[in-house]
Amino acid sequence: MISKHFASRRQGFTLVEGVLASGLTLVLIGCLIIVLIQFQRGFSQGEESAVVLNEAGCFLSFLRYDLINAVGPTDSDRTDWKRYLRVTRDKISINTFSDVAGSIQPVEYVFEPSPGGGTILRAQGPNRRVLVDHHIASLTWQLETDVATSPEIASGYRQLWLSVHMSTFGHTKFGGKTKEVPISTKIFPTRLHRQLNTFVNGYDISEPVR
Amino acid sequence: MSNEIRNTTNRAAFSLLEALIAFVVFAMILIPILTILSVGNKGVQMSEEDLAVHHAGIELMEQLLTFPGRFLPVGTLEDAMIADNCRIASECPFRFHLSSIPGIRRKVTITEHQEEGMLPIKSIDVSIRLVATMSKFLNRETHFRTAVIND
Repeated sequence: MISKHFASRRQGFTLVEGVLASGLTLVLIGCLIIVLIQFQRGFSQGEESAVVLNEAGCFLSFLRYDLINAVGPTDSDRTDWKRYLRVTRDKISINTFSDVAGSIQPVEYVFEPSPGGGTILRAQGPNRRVLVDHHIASLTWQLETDVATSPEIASGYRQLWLSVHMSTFGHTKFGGKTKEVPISTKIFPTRLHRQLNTFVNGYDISEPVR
Repeated sequence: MSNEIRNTTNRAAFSLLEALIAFVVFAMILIPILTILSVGNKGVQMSEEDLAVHHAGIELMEQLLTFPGRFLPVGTLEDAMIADNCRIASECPFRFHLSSIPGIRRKVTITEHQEEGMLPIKSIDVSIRLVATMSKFLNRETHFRTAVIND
């Protein structure tokens, strides 16, 4: 009786128990693999989104900095304001102060659209640099202007700005795309405003009328 | 014999307490893992919002800097007064030119300072606050500050 009792306690798993345990283990491993794949996809998307945001921020910062340092042509007056910033559908051309000595160099931003994502290049003299690499879904930039008038500035104060509307996206390692991020901003070239609105017809409009 | 049968029955499965402890341990392992998985997405969304806020603030600040300082109205301009193509103030000839960015509130505070023997200056404080429609991570406000000569 005692030996029979011990034998029943040491018999091990039954087939049903073994099959159930294997099934549960497989389900758990399957869940774990799905979670890990999702994590890998999420990580890849996050990584690519960060790269895209970084490139977009870098492009806008370069453009803003160049426009702050932009200088207009010396041989023109304020009626020639279109010569101060030359903007076409795929190119922005400006002259900027490039060093403390006051040297002036032309700078160009070129947009190359592509079905797989557009690219933006910045060229300054012989140097060309890709700022956004195949991550532009859509991009428009246009030069806009307004003239403010008041009794104090009867000749008018011209404002110029560049409106930029862009949408960026990234390519993931799994062949997908990241969410499109729209970015809109207006960039005001401060130095150009001063140049454009100072000493109009020999009269400094930046000074109040006495 | 009856004792043996009862003992065997008692050892046949998990007790409720054992099952509950197993669930709690499993949950304690899963919660940090799921939290780690969602941190990356939060970071990306916050970066998107920060980029939008940064450019909204700089855009507003830059255009205020293009005007002669004397035209800048002293006081506080709330979001309702800061709209595209609206005059900056009733007596000011300049208008705002702003991009449409959903989910943000703009505010501009301009104060005038005059110290003896110094040129009068105006300090500008631009603040951009994220609101519920855009951000899940609220109570974030970014300030941009500068000063201009009141010329």
